[in-house]
Amino acid sequence: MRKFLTPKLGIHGLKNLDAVILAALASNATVLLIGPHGSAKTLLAQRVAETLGCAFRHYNTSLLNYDDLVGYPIPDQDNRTLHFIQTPGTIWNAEFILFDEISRARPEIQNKVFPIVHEHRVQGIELEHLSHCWAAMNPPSDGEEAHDAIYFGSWSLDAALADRFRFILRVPGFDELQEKAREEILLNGDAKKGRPALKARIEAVRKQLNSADETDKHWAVRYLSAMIPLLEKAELRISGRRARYLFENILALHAAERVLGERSEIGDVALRAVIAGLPHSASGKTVEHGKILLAHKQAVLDAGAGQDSIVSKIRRIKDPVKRVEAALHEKLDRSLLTQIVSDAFASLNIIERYAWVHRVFPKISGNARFGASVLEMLAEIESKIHDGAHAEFSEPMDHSGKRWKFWQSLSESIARFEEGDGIAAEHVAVSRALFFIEEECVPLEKVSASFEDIDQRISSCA
Amino acid sequence: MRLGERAGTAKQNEAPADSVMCSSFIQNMSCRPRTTVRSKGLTCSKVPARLRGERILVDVEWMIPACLKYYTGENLDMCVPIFNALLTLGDRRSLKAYRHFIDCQPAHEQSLTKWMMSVPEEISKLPGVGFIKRPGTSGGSNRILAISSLHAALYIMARSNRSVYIRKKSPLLSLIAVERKIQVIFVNRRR
Repeated sequence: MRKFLTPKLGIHGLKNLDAVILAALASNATVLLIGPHGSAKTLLAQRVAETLGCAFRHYNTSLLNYDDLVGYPIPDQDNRTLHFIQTPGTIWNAEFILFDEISRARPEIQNKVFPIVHEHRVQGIELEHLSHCWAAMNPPSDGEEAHDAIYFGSWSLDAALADRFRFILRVPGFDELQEKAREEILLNGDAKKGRPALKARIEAVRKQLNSADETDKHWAVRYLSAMIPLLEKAELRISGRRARYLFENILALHAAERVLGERSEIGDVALRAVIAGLPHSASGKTVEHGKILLAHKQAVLDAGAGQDSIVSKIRRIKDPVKRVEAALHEKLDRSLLTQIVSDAFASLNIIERYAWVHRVFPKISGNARFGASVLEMLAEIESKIHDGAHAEFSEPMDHSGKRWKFWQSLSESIARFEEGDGIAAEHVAVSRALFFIEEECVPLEKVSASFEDIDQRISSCA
Repeated sequence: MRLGERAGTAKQNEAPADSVMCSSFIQNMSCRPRTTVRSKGLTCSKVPARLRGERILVDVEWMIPACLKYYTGENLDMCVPIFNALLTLGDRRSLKAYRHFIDCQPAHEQSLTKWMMSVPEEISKLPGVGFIKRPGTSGGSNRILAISSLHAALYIMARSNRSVYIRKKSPLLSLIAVERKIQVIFVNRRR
């Protein structure tokens, strides 16, 4: 039977975050809650700390001074050392901290929060009692998603600070909740419904984590090895620390879901752990769930195939041109080959694309393993290069225009080619195609450099 | 030296004497000097074999027997039944026989699609990808080969869009037309 945490704490509509919250508590992980105002972020932290019986400190980071954290320094009688006069609000004996409104804090305060979040230290002194460090913020107003931003004081976090939080949880607003959860809030407010056995569950998760299955660990490693390059391809850069966090998150979430009575596959858990472990939304970057889902599906397939499989090895090659070369040497299925070639095609700029297509087209056009759509895509470019070599073009040009000036230099290059000045015909053909068909003014030298670069990338793969 | 590109062939406001174009008016109205740049293709002998290719002309008009020519000219929208009749009955039957077949056969499209799915021998010898050019377009080698069988010509036509022919593509009957003449350039070698 499935057990719940947040409803018993008097917080409704956050049931889907129960397992992540339990995983974070069991692994003493840093948590960043991002949600609109009035979505019970602060209440959640307060109730959790209260249930655990922890010494709780709630700092409004936008109003915080450093003295509020450490106390007021006074020298001792000999004027040799400094002591801090402590207040009920100082951080030294805190067990559970919430840095509220962290996105509204001044940069110097954010910098001081940095070591507390990451190392549990202030000025190099360890905060011995601190177990749980959480933060909360409204969605940033300067992010890529902020089309109808209403939080004008909420700025995206520094990427390095955001990267220090192990779990980044999106807390839904009232309007995003289901009908039943809204009714619960309206009827019961934040009244508690008993006391969840939170400590016992945390212990149970820790026990499960200590006896984690080696097969699951190896699977998580294979999964992340496949997933991280795919996330980077989706422009979600993953640091070494984040990779480790994601690994720990998968195992912790898997254990937490088991303790809460959910019988889910590790593959599904991994997706939830990745979504709850990406810090990019805190620093204002759009995280497209569709892209993550696609990457996840691919990573699950690759993880099943094994890290040493050819597919995984090819996927780990970062350079799309080299990836295609490697794929051409292996017996991969048609859909995968099509995907690899299409990815390479899309990732190159127009000059590189022309040079690459001209090099790769003979290998692909005679290969039975490529679908018609890929062949057509490449043939269109190769056909334009052929036109660039043979077709006659006619175009009226304005003498003061950029195209006329460019034409002067291109026609001189063509004349040098006709005189046999060592200029390659294919470079001239590409330049002419780019100029007359694509209407791009690309100097012949740039085309030659692109050919050289593509040739180098292809030959380095051989 | 090919400086003629810039000096000789690039003539001020050059346009065919018998044509009046909108751009000519605009050019004449403009105070800025304009030149129509004409750029020929590269000298064929200096272009590597890979960029030269082999040209094949696909023209089905001359493959229609004399007895069907008038009927075809009057019924250009009937090209699917006409070609189906020619492929099924051959090219030596009477107009009466063709017209009877065209009028009585109920499923010309399915039948012609079946024809288009089978690979003629002539096609299996050609590369799988070709570039489409309008007939008369210069460039490539000087040799132009004509496709000799109607089946092969229609096979290419049904798989050629505006710019490329792909053998692997599913055939599209809408691409088949009596008056459609195309030139396919195969840059890879024949098998």
